[in-house]
Order: sequence, then structure tokens, then C-alpha cells
Amino acid sequence: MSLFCIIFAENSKRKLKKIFIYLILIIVIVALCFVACMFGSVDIGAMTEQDVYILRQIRIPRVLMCMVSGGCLAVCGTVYQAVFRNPLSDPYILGVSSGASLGASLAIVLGLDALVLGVPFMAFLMALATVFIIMKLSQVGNRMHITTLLLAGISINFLFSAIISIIMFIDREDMHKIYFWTMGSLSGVKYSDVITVAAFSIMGIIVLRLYAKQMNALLLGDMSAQSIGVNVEKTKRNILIISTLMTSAVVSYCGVIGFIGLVVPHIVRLLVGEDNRRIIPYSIFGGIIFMLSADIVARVLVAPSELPIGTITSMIGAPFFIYLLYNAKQKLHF
Amino acid sequence: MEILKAEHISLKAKEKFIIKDISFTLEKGDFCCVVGMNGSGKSTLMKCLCRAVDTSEGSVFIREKNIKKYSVKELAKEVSVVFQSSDINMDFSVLQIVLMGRMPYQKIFERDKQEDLLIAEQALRETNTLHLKDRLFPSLSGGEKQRVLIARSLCQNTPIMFLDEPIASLDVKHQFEVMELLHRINQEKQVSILLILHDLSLALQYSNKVIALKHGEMKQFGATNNILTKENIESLFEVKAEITNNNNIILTH
Repeated sequence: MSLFCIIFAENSKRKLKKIFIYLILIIVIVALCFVACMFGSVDIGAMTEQDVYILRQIRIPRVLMCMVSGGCLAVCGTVYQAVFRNPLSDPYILGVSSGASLGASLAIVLGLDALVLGVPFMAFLMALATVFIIMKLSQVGNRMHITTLLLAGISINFLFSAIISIIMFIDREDMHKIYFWTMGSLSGVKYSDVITVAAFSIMGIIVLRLYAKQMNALLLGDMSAQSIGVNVEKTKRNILIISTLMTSAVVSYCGVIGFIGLVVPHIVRLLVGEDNRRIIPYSIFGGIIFMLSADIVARVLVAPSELPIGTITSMIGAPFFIYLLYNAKQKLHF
Repeated sequence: MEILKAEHISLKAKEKFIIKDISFTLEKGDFCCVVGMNGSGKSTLMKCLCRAVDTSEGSVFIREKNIKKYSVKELAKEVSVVFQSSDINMDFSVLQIVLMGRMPYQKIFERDKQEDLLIAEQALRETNTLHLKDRLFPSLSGGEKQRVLIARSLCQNTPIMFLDEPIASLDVKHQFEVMELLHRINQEKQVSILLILHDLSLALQYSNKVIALKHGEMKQFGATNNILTKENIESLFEVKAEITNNNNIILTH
């Protein structure tokens, strides 16, 4: 039997399995959405007029934003890991989220928040600048080394946090608005915000999914990728611009929410392998589930008050990051 | 028929020449080995020839067209390159790695077609790696990895193939296995092969042309038997050499 016949038969089986897994994931997401809508500082049950108002104006937009931003950040993490050929890369660790956050803060101080897309635009500019600074700082010869990459990310994070603190100190009037960006929060999300972030995310994810094969080739190394016909520089540049734009859109409306881009692609990779054509769609589901769960915990844990969602994702993500570093260390030893 | 021509190529880094003024021509079906001591510029020369790095001076022509005028995709249809396999540590399956050789023939967002799978199957058969198709690349032995990367090159279906030390770190049996495979590809498909090799006996046995480099300069280029002589080897590698009747080269300090 030819390889084509074998693969065709395998693909048919795999398709069925895929549909089954997607169905389960959708059921889990629907269940989480239901829980997220029903529970919080006020439990909804009797569906009074007030309950319906809370559901429509507060909970549903918030749940939708969770889904959009979770899927988006998870895909961005996947993409960063492929481009930097480094499993510890994600927009948060590399300081790109901090860059976006600084851009957003500057936009508020300069009064650009009155303009349509003023805040996302500044966030995008600063995030993009951060990506290029990180790339320049961490490049040794043709490769980006893990140590220099992480150190560059940490340094940038510190630097931008310090600048944001100074801005907050100088402009006390806008302090509460800026503080929101440093912690990450989904409270007060409106439908119009969801639509804006969804537009950036959906378009970005579609384009990045189309680049998945090129991303696979990039994992072989720049020279190998070029030898099989991938325009390495152009591909990397396009992918980074798109994913940075997506990250900036999320940061502009939800603040800095860390570690989703690190945790989700890792778990997905363990389950489905290294092929980005499969990692990207599963990361979307994984990101949505992770974000919805974190949001439920953030709202239920200290009800009727709520924790910033960024703290919950960091509480899960930071130990996971330490575990990955520990694994990397073990590999170096043996 | 002339297929590859290097004209006075040099590469400078920090005002120092890594390779200097190298010129040679390869014909269709040539099997050419690049020999020289460590740091003589062998890998750099190969990178310049496949445009992985841009030369500071001089030009490289494939079928009389400057490689700078080829798009990345067009060039990948002319030249396939096997870099050292230790660079790949991602958990891709053998079939995924081999199918990547079809990327120059696919549009940016195109899926693998039936034709691509048939060509990959053929390449896997020719390199005797079909049974490994579902194995993860990092789990393979050194010899298997090299055969799989050669299968990817075959999948690329190029008239020129470059290989960077394909038998480094392989045991003797697997060294012969890889060299025999390359010899067969060269003879049956008339693919022009340029490979970096440290084993001079194998170079003498398999190649018809040799490029000898020392300190970034091309000391000799020509037919293998004329280049790999006792005197040339001794001057190139700064050791004593002896060539036996059955074309084995014995080197002593």
C-alpha cells in the first residue's frame, strides 16, 4: 500500500478523533461560560430584571472578552516560541506586554485616550519597539541565546515598570487608570471593547494559522528554513508584527495578563506534538479554558470583591515557568 | 554542462578575510569534496554558495544566473542543503521533516498534496528510511538522521546538493552507508554534490573533484587524483601522508 493511501486512511481516522476532541473542548468551554455567567459577587438564579441587566451588561461581555483575549494570548505565545526558537518565550516574559502597557500609560497621560484606537495604537508602537530591542539585545551571532533573551526581557520589564511608576507618581489623576494596566483586569468591559479586540484577534489568528508551516520550518533553524525556500527575515518580521499587534490589542483593553502564552502552548505541545498547524487551533481552545477558569477563580475566591486576573494567571504561570527552567537545567546536566 | 560557478568570492568579518578570492566551476554530475583543516573556511564557503550568508566580494552563479537574482524559493529549487543534524532537536516526525522538502514547490499557504506525498515516499524508499516515517527525528541514530535529511534533499528535487560534514560523528559502517547513498544519487540522478569531508580516503574513493582550502584561501582545485597527492596533503594538513595501493590515505604526525 502506498504512503498516500496509508496517510489518507490515517487522516480519516485522525479527522474523526479531532472532531471528537473539539466537541469535548466546546462542551467544557460552554460549561465554563455558564459558570462564569452565573457566579460572581452577585449570584444569578431567579432572573430578575436586575439579574438580566448584570448578565447582559457585565457578565456576558466579560466572558466574551475572556474568550477572545485567552485564545489570542495563547496563540501569541505559540508564535513567539516558534520565532525565537525558545520554549520560554512569551509576550509577558519578554517584556512586550510591559511595552504595550507603557504605551497605553503614555497615551493616557498625553490625552490620547480620547481618540478612537489612540491607546491601542500607542500600545502597539511601544510593544513593537520592545520586540526589536529584545531581538537586538539577545542576538549573539545568528542565534538568540536563552540566557540573553530572558535577561533582556527581565531588564526591559524592570525598566518599563519603573517608567510606569514614575508616570503614575507624576500624574496622580490618572493613577488608577494606569494601575489597571499593570495588574490586568476585565471589569467594566464593554461590547465595543470586545468587538475591537475580537477583530484584531480573529484576523491575526487566521493569518498566523496560515503561516504555521513556515513556523515549523523556522524551528529547524534559520539556515535550514531558508534552504527549503522560506524567506526567513520576511516571515519572522510579518509574524512578529501580527502577534505583537494582537498582544497590544489585548493589553490595551485588559491590561497585562501574564503567562497564558507560556503555559497553554506547552501543555498543548505535550498533547499534540510540535506541529504548529495543530498547536495553534488547540492553543485557542486551551487559552479560552485557562482564561475563563482564571476569571472564575478571580471573582469567586474573594467574593463579593475580586482579584485582578493577572495575579491568578501569574500564580499558576510562575511556578510552571520555574518547572520549565528546572527541566531545562536537568537537560543541561544529562 | 556548467552548473555552479564561484567567481572570486570573499567574505570579510571585522576587516579579516574568512575566505578569500575563491573561484571554481562545477559541472553537472560532479561529486566534489571540500577538504581542509578546522577553521580553513569550508563551512563558510558552503554558506556563501547557498546564500546563507552574503559574500563581501565576488559572485556565485547557478546555471549562469547570479544567485542574488534568485528568489529564496527559486534558489531552493536549485540547491538543497544538508546542515549538521545536531541542529534539529524538535519533536517532528521523519515524514514531517521529509515533506518540508516540498515547500519550495508549494504556495505559502498550501497543504501537502498527493503528489508531494508520493515524492516523499519515493525519497524515503531511496534512502531506506520508509520504516522510520512515524519516528520522531531526535530519537533516530546519527546515521538514520543523515539519511532522513538526505531524503528531504531528494524531496526538494534539486540539481545541486550541498552537505556539511554528513558523516561526522558516524561509525565506519554508517559512514560508508551514507557515502554509498550519495554516490548512488550522484550516479543515478546526475545530481551535482558538494560536500565537506574530513576523511581524505573517502574523498579519494568517491569524489571526482576536490577543493582544498587553507587559512581561507583555495590552495588547489581540480580532479581528485591530481589534488590528493602525498605532497599536497602534507602541505595542506601539515602531517606526513602515505597513499596505499588501494587508495587509502594514512596520515601520521
